[in-house]
Amino acid sequence: MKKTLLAWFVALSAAATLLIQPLAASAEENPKEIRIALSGAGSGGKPKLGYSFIPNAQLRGKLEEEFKKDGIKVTWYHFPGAGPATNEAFSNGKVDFGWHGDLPLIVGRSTGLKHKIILAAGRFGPLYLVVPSGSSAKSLADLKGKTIAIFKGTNQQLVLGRLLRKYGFTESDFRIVSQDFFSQRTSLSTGDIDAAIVSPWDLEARGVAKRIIEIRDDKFLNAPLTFWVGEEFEKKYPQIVQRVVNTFVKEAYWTSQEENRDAQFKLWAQSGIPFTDWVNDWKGYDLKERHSPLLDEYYVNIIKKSVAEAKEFKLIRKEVTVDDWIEPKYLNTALKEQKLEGYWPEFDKDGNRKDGKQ
Amino acid sequence: MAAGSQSAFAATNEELEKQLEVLQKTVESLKQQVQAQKSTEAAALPENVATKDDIEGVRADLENFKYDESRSRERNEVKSTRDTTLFGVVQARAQIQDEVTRAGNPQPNAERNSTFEIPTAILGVRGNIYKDYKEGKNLDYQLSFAYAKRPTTAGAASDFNLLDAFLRYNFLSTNGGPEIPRLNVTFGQQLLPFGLESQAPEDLRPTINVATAPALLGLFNRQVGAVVRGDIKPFVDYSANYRAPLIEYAAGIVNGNIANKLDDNNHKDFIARAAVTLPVDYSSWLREFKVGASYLKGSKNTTNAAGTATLDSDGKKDRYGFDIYYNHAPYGVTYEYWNGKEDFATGAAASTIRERESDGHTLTLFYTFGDQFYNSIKSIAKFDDWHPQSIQPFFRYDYYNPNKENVALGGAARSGRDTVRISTLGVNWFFAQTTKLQVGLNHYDYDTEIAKTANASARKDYNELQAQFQYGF
Repeated sequence: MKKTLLAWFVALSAAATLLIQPLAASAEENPKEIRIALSGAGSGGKPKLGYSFIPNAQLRGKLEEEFKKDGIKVTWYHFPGAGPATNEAFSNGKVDFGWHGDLPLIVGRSTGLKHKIILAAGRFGPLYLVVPSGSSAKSLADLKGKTIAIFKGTNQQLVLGRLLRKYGFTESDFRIVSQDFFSQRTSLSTGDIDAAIVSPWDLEARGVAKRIIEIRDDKFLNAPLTFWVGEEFEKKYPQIVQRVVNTFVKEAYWTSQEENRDAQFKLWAQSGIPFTDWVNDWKGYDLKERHSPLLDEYYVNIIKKSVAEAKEFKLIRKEVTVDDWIEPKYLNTALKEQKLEGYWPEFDKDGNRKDGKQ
Repeated sequence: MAAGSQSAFAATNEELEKQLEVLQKTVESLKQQVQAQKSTEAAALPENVATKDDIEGVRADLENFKYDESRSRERNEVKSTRDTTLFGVVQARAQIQDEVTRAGNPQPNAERNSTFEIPTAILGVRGNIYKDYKEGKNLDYQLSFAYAKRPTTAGAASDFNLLDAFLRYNFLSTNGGPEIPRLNVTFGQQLLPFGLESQAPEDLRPTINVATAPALLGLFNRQVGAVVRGDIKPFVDYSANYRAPLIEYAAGIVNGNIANKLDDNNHKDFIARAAVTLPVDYSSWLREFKVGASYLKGSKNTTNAAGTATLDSDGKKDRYGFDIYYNHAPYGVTYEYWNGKEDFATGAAASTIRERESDGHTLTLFYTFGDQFYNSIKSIAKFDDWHPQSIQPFFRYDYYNPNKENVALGGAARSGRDTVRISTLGVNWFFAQTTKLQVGLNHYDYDTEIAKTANASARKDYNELQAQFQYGF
């Protein structure tokens, strides 16, 4: 019987080894897979998003098209846990590229995550402070002492800080609770929170919430979104990084063209946010400005400001330097190769177009 | 008259024909105008504007949906007065060993080497009695039952015993963010906050067999009482929303007379636990490094050897514990030490009370291939029922000595010859969200072997292979 058990044990170990083997990756010239983290998910946890040329490329299968000939698999991870989940996955070596808001990007960097910023990927845009439809509040002052929900750890935390400062308040004037994006919308409709920074359109259409603040022209409330690559991946596969950037720059060009405005909103509606919401949200904005991939003075300056704010709000404990974090060479090469230098307007550090246009 | 009349009729017919022709032309013209107007309207109507018919269609669909929904809710859905989640855990096991045994069945029986069994089947509900939307100071409840075999009774009947039955109130906010400390009190029948494995519910225990020392020292038993649990100075790394409370604590008072019983004396058991977690960022190699200590000041009715008379209603039943927890996925280590001091009757007349000291420790090492333990990957957005599959080989060394001083004990109390060392090599395969296959090869090494008797098999060192599916819902 003891011999039988020994045989079973050997068989068990062999089976475990066989099962484990496929999970262990081996080093090769090209990666077998490119893993991209998107810090968010569609309504109800759908693996589809909108807003930028990054998710647009996924919706149109552009990276898959680019790497098909090499047999490189492209895997997109949509994290309902937003930026913090992207950081967790990157910290454990589960993703190679990431699309991030400013706060989780900065906090991740401050805790030692090693990545390089290679593209700006979505900027400007409106901000809405939304309250339940039955609320008598007309301004932030009316909400003093009341409950405002944000998803702590995401860029929403810095956005709220900036909004409060703009109107002369601090977080201590309100009761701030943490809820994910879906819970914020539900709590607004049930009246369990007093305000949240969310997209108002479908809530208003259902008659459950209303805007009390809408700001469309403040370039320093919403910091740009960022696309980065892990340092290790970049060192190992710079040629792949270049091709990824080339593909995204092509996609940024497609999304920046006015004739594709409705087409991209229709694609983004796959996320569960209706087409009309995207139309309303983007009304009056220049697509070229919002889809600019440039790492211009404006981008660098606002990320530096965000670092300072994260420190001031005690969200980071260690210094984060920005200049050595940005790697523009892939973007510059892509712009040159695609003859797109000068296509997107550059902004100065104060958020003004350098070409003087308003 | 007639001719005149005919002539008159003829003239009238001609006129009528002319009039008819004019009218036909007029109708034709009007038709063309209407057609032209329709075409203009159709051209002017944007494609995405809903017509009255469209709206009627949507309204009819909505009414149908509302009817179906209310009918389904009334007839086909389980309802409850309060928020309720139904949950359960079931284990289905097969095992084979190289020494025969007769344990677990009523007499008469015969020796066996292998068996199938259902060691655990739990059914329960949990939810909110009161939900505080503003501050998250919720009042929660849990009620669960577990199936239990009757090893000494013939027949197929089994018991369905009350397992957890408690209310929990959160004194501090649970929705204010990870930086807010936690504090709650749990009142009712519950697991004790002692060490690591003892307070893990059945579905989260890492190996098929639980550690021997806490099992034989009674630390897996549910107890009835009130326990306060909380933490202070939580360290928060917002980069991954990682929360590491610097100090976790628990303190409580319980009957000390296991579950589903009244207190059996006038002395309560007191329990206290504290644990320190290193305040480091999520990306640090020292994340989830925790050291804890637990203490149970218990009392028992010390009885004579026959168990027919109480010699002391405040006999000693103390437990001490120390634990280290380090879980840095993909690898992890846990170590627990237990010490028990307990009074027993000794001597020929079983009238002398002496203290028996027991101790034990368990070391578990594991490594996970796969993404089961990464919250980000586990909660990834998906259309299907995808879940990261993981394989987790582990090794466990488990030691227990129930009687360190080899005190001669009366009655059924165990003596020093029960010292056992169990080495386990195993693997957990997490192949669906709430289901795992566990396989373990155990080697039992006893200090003293016991010869076969009329009613019991010999106790010898032996090897055992176990395989078990555990699923939850």
